[in-house]
Amino acid sequence: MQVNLKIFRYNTEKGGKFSYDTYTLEAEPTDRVLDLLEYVRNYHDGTLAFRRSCAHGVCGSDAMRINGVNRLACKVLVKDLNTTQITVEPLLGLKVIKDMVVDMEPFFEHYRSVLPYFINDEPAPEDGRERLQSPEARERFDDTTKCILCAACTTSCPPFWSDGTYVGPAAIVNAHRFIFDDRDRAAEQRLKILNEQMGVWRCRTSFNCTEACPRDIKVTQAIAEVKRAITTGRVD
Amino acid sequence: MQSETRKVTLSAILRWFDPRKTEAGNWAFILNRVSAIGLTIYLYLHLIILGKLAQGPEAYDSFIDIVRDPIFVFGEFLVVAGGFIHGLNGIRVILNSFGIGVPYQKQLFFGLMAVAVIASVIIGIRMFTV
Repeated sequence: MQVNLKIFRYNTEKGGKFSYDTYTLEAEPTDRVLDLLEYVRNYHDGTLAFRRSCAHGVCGSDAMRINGVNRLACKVLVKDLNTTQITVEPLLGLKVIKDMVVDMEPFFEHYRSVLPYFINDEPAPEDGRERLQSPEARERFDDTTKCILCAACTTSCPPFWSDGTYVGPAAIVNAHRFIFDDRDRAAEQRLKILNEQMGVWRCRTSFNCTEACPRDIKVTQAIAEVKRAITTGRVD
Repeated sequence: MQSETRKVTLSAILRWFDPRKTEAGNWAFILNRVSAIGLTIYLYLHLIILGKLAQGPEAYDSFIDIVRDPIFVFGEFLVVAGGFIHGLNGIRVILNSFGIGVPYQKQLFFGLMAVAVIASVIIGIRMFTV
């Protein structure tokens, strides 16, 4: 089958206006959008810039807007799009550096702000074993352990588009992962951070994040649980 | 969190209305924003009109004669419909914000909007016939 691939082009170093390049390509229905981009870079224009690493939906490098919706280019097959017109654009809300490559630093700054690591100053068990946890307690935050930090959720969020100081869904998901971990001791600290003006209360429940997540994390549900924990002061 | 404030541009706000993101939650978000802007504009118009009372009964009555025009009645109908949409959608936002009914957000949205449409039609018929 033939597809028309329209690719967003912009180079910060050259400045000026962005543009679109269109390529007509032969593709299999089972080709991934990432395969098409690699074909263009290999055979048509070596200056095309996009991030990719594992190419199997695990590393989260190749999140981009495909036909207007945030997706991982390595997880979208041509046949899934139900059209031969494919438009590929960079994520919204983050500064474009070149073509599909955006500046992820503001995203990671928000991520770091919620203390996304295990905090427990209590002495480890004397028998030298790990801190044990029941399967039920582990299940409580299982969904939010799946995040790969691709930024598809945060950059699909209308409040984040209009104000980049909002901490964003991805950071809240990663805070949720530790807040509801019964081995962790810094839940109160994280809830205090997320109770700030640019924390969870900027969420307007548009559910774009839940739709965008390539790992099917129930992002809006996680944000709601954090809101509830802040309001009730209880983590359960 | 970032301390630096990014400039809020018109294009950033217009992204809210990108029709390619047509999932229910996003439409609910857009409807809530549009109805809120409409109701806010109406609130100020309403206050200005009430200010006519201070100019005496003649000024007020002559103005009321103008707003009996069907175009103004239609405008009032939009206010009623906007009130229903915004109020009922607000109930969905409150419930979802605290984790109630999140898996059923689409059904909740469509159900509440159906109530808004029915209520608006009933009141609309009364406005144009009575």
